[in-house]
Amino acid sequence: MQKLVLVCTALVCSCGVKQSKSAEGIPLDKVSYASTFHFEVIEGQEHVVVDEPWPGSKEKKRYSLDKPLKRIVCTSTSHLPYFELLGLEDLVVGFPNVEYISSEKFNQKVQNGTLLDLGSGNSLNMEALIGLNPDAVIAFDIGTESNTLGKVKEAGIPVYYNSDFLEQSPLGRAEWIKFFGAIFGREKKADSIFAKIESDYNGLKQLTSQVKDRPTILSGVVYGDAWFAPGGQNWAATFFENAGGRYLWENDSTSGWLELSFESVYERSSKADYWLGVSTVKSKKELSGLDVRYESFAPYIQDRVYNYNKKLGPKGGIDFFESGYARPDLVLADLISIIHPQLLPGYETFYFQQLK
Amino acid sequence: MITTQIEGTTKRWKFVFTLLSIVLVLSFLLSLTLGSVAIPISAIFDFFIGEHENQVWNNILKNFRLPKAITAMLAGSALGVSGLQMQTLFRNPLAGPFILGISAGAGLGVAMVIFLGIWMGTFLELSGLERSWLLVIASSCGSFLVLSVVLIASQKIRSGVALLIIGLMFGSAVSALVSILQYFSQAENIQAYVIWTFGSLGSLSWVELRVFAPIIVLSLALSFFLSKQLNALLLGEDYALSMGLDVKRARTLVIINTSLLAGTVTAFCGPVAFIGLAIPHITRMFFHTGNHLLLTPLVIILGSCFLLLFDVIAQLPGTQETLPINAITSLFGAPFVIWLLIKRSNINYSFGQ
Repeated sequence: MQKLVLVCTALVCSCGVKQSKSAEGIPLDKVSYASTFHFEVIEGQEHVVVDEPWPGSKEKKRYSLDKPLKRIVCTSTSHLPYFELLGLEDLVVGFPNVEYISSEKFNQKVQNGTLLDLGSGNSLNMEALIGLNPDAVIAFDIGTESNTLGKVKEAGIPVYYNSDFLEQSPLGRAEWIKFFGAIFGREKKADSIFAKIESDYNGLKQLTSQVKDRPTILSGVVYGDAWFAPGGQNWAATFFENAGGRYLWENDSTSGWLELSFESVYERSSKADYWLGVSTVKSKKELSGLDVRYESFAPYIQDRVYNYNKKLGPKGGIDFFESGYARPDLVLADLISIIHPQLLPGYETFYFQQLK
Repeated sequence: MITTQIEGTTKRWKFVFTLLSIVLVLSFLLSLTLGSVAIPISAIFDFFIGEHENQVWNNILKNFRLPKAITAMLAGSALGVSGLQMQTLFRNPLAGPFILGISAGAGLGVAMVIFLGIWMGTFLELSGLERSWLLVIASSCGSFLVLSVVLIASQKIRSGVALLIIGLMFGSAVSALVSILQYFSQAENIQAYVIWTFGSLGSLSWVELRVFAPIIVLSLALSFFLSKQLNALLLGEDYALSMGLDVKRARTLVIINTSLLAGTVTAFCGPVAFIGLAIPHITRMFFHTGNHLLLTPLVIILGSCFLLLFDVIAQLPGTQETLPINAITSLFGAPFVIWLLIKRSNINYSFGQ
C-alpha cells in the first residue's frame, strides 16, 4: 500500500514539474463545485480557464488575471447579481435589452445614464459598444451568438465567455461568482460570499437529509402539445431533491428539458403533492384559463401550486431568472419552506409564491 | 343500358363509402386506444358503456383523447375541403388552404400577442379574457385582415392567377412583419412562437371545442352547397359563365368558405401543414373523379382518417415524449404522395379536361 502511495506521489510530482516547464498550467484547487471553469498558473501568472465556453466546445479559453478589468459590458441579466453581490455595479457600462433587467440598482443606473442600452434584439449595437471603449465583454454563447461575438473580437475588445448555464448543480452555478471575483481583483470577497452561500445551502440540505416523508413534485406547463418539464438531472431537479422532495421524473437521465405528452403528465399528476413552477402564471384562475384541464390536477385541487414570480422587475421581468442562479441558498430555503414548512417556521419566501 | 351503368356506379360508390366509414371508425378507435399512457382495451370499452373503475384512465379518455380525436377529424376535414376548393377555384394543383396568405395572417396575429406580450398582460387583466382564447382571437383577426384584402382584390381582378399571386405576395409581406417582430424578441418568446408553428391538436379542451366544432361543421355543410358551382368552375370560368353561373359570386363564396375553414383550424390548432395540399390529390388519384359532390365527402373522410393516424404516430405510443404534429404530417405524408404519383405516373386528372 505504502509503495503504491509513493508511486502515485512520484507520478504527480513528475507531472507537475513537466507542466510548469511547458506552457501548460498548474491547476489551482480553488473551485469545488463548478465543472466548467478552473484556475491555473501558467508561466508564473494566474489565469482563469473556461473549459467549455459554449455547449460542446472543447476549445478552452484562458484569461490572465494580472490586470483587473474596469469597464465592462455584459450580455445576460443573470450576470448582474454577481456584480451586485461583489459591490461592483459601477463597472458595468453597457448592456443590451435593458428593459429585461429586474434589479433596482441596475435600473437606476439605466435612468441616471451610467448604464447604456446597447440595443434590443439578438445583436449588439456595435457602434455604441465600441464608443463605450470597454475593457471586455462578458458574454454567453448558446451556439447562435458567435457571429456577433466575432465582430466584438474583430473590434479589438476581449470577449470573456461565461458558461455558468452549463453547470448542473446549483452550487456549481453559484460558484461562478469566483470567476467574476477573479477578473475584477476581488477574489477574497468572492470566496467569502460563496463560502457563506455554500454553508447556508449545505446546512439547509442537511435539514432535509433525514426527512422520511418526501412529497412528490410536478413542474412545468404545456406549450402546444408538449409539456416542458426539467429533466431528471436538471438544475431544478437537484433543488427538488435537496429540498427533501421527490421529483416525479427524478429517474430520468437528461439534464436539459423533457417534452412530455399532456396525458402522461396528467396520469402522474394524480400522484403529485406539489406543483412548483408554472411559467408566468400569477393566479389559479389564470392557470385554468390557459387550459381548463389543469383544474383536475391534484395539486391544483389541494391549493399546492407555487410559482417563482413573487418578485418582478419594473417591466415584468422575473427576478428568479436573474438573481436565483447566484443565490441557491434562497431558492432552497423557499422550496423547503413550501414542502416542509415545519423545518423553517416563520420563514417568508423570497422568490416563490402560492397561487390563489 | 344507361340505367344499369348508373346503378352499377351507385352500387360502387355505396361500397366505397361504407368501406371508408369503417376505416374512419377504426382510425378513431385506434386514436383513442393508443397514446403515451397505456390503457387496456377493456378500459376503453368500459368508458363507452359509462363504467369507470379507474378514474385517471377515464379522465384521460374523456378530457384528453376524445377531444383530441374529434379535433383531428374536424381539422383534417376542414383543411382537406379547403385545399380541394382552392385547387379547383384556381385550377392549380399547387394551391392549398393557405395559398391566399391565411396562415401568414394568423401567424402575424399570434406573433403580435406573443412578442408584444408585456402590454397584452395588462389588457388581459382588464378584459378578464382567458389566455387560451387570446391566441385564437389574435389568429382569427390576422386571418380576417388578410382575407379582407384578398376579397377586395378579388372584386377588382378577373384573373384567378393574378389573385393567386396577390395572395402569395401578401403572405410574404405579412411573414416579413413577423420576422421583424421576432428579431426584436427574447429567446423565450421566439420559442413560444416556434412552438405555435409546430401545430397542436391536443390543446383544445371541451370548452374550445364548443366553439370550434360548430364553425367547422357549418362551413363543411356550406361546402356541399358549393359543390355544383365548383364542378362548373372546374370546366373554366367562360364555360361556367355560359352555364349561367354567377362566377364572381361563386368565387367570393368559395374564398370566404375556405378562409373560414382554414382560418378556424389555424386559430385553434396552429398552421397544420400538408393535409390541405395533399388530401385532395390523394383523393382524386384513388377515386378518379372530379365531381365535387363525391369529392367533398371523400376528402372529409380521408382528411379525418389521415390526421387521426398522423396524430397517433406523433404521440409515439408507449413513450412519454411526443413529436410535433406538423413534422409528422409532412414527413409521412410527402413520401406517400410521391409514391402515388410515381405509381400513377400522371396528375392530369380534372384540371386539364
